[in-house]
Amino acid sequence: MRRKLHLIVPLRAWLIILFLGNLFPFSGTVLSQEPRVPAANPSATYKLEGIVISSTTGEPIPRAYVQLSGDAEDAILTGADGRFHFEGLPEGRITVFASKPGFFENIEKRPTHSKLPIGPETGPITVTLVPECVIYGHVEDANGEPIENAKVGVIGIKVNQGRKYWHDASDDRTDEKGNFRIAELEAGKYIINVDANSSLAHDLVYLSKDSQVGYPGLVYYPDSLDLLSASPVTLAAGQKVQINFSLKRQRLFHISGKLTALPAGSRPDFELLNLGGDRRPSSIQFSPQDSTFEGKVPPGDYKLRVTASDPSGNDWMAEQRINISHDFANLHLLLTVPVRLSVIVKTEFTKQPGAIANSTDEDIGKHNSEVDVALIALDPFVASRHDRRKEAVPSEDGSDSLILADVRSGRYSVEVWPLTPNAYVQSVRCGTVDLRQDDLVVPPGGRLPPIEIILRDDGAELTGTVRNTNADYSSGLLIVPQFAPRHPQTGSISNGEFQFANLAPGEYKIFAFDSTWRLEYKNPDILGQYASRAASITLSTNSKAKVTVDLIQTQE
Amino acid sequence: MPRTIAIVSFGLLALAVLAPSKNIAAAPPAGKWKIGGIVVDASDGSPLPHTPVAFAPAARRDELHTIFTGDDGRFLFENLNPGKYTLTAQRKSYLTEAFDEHGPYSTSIAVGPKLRSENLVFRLHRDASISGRVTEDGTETVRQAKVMLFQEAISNGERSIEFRADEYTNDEGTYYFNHLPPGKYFVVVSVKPWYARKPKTSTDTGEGKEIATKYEESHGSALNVAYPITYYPGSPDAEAAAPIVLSAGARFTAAFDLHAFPAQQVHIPFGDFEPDSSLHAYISEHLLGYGRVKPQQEAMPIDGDARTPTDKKEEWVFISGVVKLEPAGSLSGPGQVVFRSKQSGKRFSQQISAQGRFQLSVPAGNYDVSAVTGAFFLMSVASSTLRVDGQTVEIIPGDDVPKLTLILTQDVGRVDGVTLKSDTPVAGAMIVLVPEDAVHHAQSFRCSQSDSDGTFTLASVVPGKYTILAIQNGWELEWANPEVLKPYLAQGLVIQVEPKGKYEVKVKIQQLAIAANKAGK
Repeated sequence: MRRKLHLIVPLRAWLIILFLGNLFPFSGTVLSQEPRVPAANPSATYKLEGIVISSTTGEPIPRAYVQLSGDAEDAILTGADGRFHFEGLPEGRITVFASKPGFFENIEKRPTHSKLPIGPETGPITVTLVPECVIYGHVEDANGEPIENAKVGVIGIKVNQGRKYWHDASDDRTDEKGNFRIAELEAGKYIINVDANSSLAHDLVYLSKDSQVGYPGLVYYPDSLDLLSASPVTLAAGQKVQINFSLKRQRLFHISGKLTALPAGSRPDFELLNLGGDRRPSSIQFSPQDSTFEGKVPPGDYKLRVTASDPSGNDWMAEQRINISHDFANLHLLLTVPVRLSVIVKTEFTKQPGAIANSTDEDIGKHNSEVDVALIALDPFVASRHDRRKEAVPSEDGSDSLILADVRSGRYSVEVWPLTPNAYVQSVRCGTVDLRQDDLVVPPGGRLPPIEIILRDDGAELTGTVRNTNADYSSGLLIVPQFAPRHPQTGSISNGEFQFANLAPGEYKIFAFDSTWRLEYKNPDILGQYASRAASITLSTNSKAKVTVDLIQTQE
Repeated sequence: MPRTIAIVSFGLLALAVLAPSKNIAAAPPAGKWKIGGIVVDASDGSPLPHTPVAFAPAARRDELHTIFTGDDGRFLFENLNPGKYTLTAQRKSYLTEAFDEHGPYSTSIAVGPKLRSENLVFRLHRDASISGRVTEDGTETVRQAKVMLFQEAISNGERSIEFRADEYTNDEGTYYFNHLPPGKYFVVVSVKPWYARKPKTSTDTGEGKEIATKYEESHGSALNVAYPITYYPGSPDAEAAAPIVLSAGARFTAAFDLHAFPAQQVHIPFGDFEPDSSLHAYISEHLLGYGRVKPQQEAMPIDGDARTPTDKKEEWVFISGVVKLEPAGSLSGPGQVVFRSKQSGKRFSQQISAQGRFQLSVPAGNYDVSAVTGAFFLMSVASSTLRVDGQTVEIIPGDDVPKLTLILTQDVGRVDGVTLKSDTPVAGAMIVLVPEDAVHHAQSFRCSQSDSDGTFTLASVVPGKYTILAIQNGWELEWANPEVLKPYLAQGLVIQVEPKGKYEVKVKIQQLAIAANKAGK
């Protein structure tokens, strides 16, 4: 069984229509619930015709599925000429979707309102579908012999809410000719890796007791052992690229050691993580009798991670970094429960208590309902393969603190959203670390002081104008506190204007973009490229300020 | 005789010598015995050079030591202690096989005084493959089609058609089954058209419903289509399926062109959430009838929830039972009872509870009963209400819930033997332990293969009277059919196995009686 794919019908690439703009002057305006034209003849029916084409070639797409929903429900396949034709539609509003295996929805052109009026003025429409990308190639050894059953993985790089993240996009195993083929990829940036050790599972030479050779761990295209120094491949819609790997077998090293504090009755899992945090399946064997482990590992710089669950469901973990260039004996790993962080919220409100009753000067209280707090994992692979986000929950002991339980070691951004009207975040600290400036680093099995959040209500107000435009740019405005550069806020530009309230005092840079959708704006290095186009302003408590900024075009 | 032996190479020999690792668990045993021979292509006998061959002690099969054959295809393991060793060889485009492999059985190599183990001929078979493309109406590629491979084989002395693997077609509509042993295969495709839609079953009231209903009538059902389960070479009827007979090294192409039909005309017994195993069982069962003329075309209307084929009306009987252990004890792990219909071959199984009880429903009929547990083996079945005989029971509907007692034992015997042809040991023979009343003791059969010194072991033998047969090239015999074994029984060795009894026997080899093998299909 070479390939295990899911039975789900592939690429339910729903597509919303792209209007022939000038035929539908209402596009982009706010539509009312009622048909625009009062129904003169309620029993009259209308037709809708159109064509489904490829966004890259403009060629018609035969046998594409076209579905109407809304005031009429129907579905048909396009003909050999890519055309479709619905009849007998009542006056009303419908949404048109199209899909076809091998194509994706044209999300960027999805109109905000997809409800299309059907009536006497309805004309032909054009729907575009974006063709998939394909990565194919082969994996061979240093002698040019194909490697069968190597696992080729495709990791997508995306930007979401200003932050770059990596996700497992797809994978395939090579066949006996060493070939692989991965389709159904959207246009974008990808990293491709291969792990050939899976090809050795039944290899008599590798399984021999005296064998000391295997393939390297994960190899990233073109020839790198860690994710972060891999060269991403950028695919345009419809592109098919060939990626070949040539792998050398190399000496494996023997590692062995002992676990302590393993919860009784639990079976530990061993993982080797490379510097990008990407996991490589390990062949490490564990002997429950004496809690020892041993295995053969290719050379490289790894984190050895051991996880185990106790009967009450707690996840225990141990991690150790090992740079393998020789045999390692007597490794000693101590399992600990994951870190549990408490969050204490303090308010320093100056105005009449609004939501908070009975607040007095002495009572600079702790209120667990003041904020939402979440940890966002920043290590590339923690971020993609586990939940990136962990929310703080009220403590079970009835105290006012919030709890972040089961926090694995790693780097996190601590995000805080005040819930109290008029409040802003004055500071977020963990011991001496200023979490507005720096990330939270959680050591394995370590203890950390509580996260302390201070809220105030004497923030500033900022209004502004974007030069030379009356347009709307949703989420185009970016306001970046210079005292918390990794915690910018986005806002909408409406009629060329914008406004923010409840801003902490301090220095800010303000950017007006046409779109922040694909922009890695939480990375100061990326944002730095636009610094000359930003406006600067310093806000003091309870102040009101005005600013004018230039529009920065990121799209054509 | 000059022999060239290549040691584990990959250019790392030097490294291995410079840094001998202490982790090598067991250095090769330092005795004075050898295993040697030649690895050849099973079809033409040509030597296969530079082929990895591994040996492992028969009792510790994962302790592999691997070498490569030389330019002449020969290999030699030296310095071995007396004992039995398994041999395995592997080569690109060949099957990885144990020495003289027959399904789960193979011949271990015995080394020691007076044993010949240096002139083995290790025959490797080229692997075969089946690949192809799935299209719709001759033009459109069908992605993500589930392509299933079934194999007809003799398993436990019985011809059966079993699910072997599945694959999903890729974006080019192609699938590929490789590393197949020579044999008889069936390929079956099951997929829904990607654009298929079920008719809208609107429960809206008021205007919404009116509109939905109207469009269903006009053209909403055009996409309520399905492909039938399609058997190679392209038929929706299992009876019309054609086996693909693969010889060693064959590369077969099996293309499928599917045509969608209105879903109402296509019988689809499986919903989206049905486990694969029931689909596989359904197909296997239907394939058993391949090549037959279908008696008549049965109309099989689909109703959305039909989950089981409605071919036959069967009367189902609910039965309840208990397992009795002899000597008294407890099942250490989970156990299962299996009822196998003597008429249809269908299996019905149920877990045994911690209290040793089970309950299940089966169609009325005659059944072979078996119990699958860790250390206990079925001896017989008892019932006060049903007709039982040995390990079989006739289940008939009645007013009361029929009750069964399964008697299991841990006190099994063991037979060690040697197969002889006028005092010369015979290697690779099929050994079958046949219960005296074979028809009613299907679970008491045991099977083995003789090793290079002619010896074999039959373990976990339920106490009783048996005949031991040794048959040369008997692997294709459908010995579960008592008629097939009849010609051999007179020449077999009769043995009474007592609880915990241990026996050493000599069994005369018999040649395959060609005529007898024609029984069955």
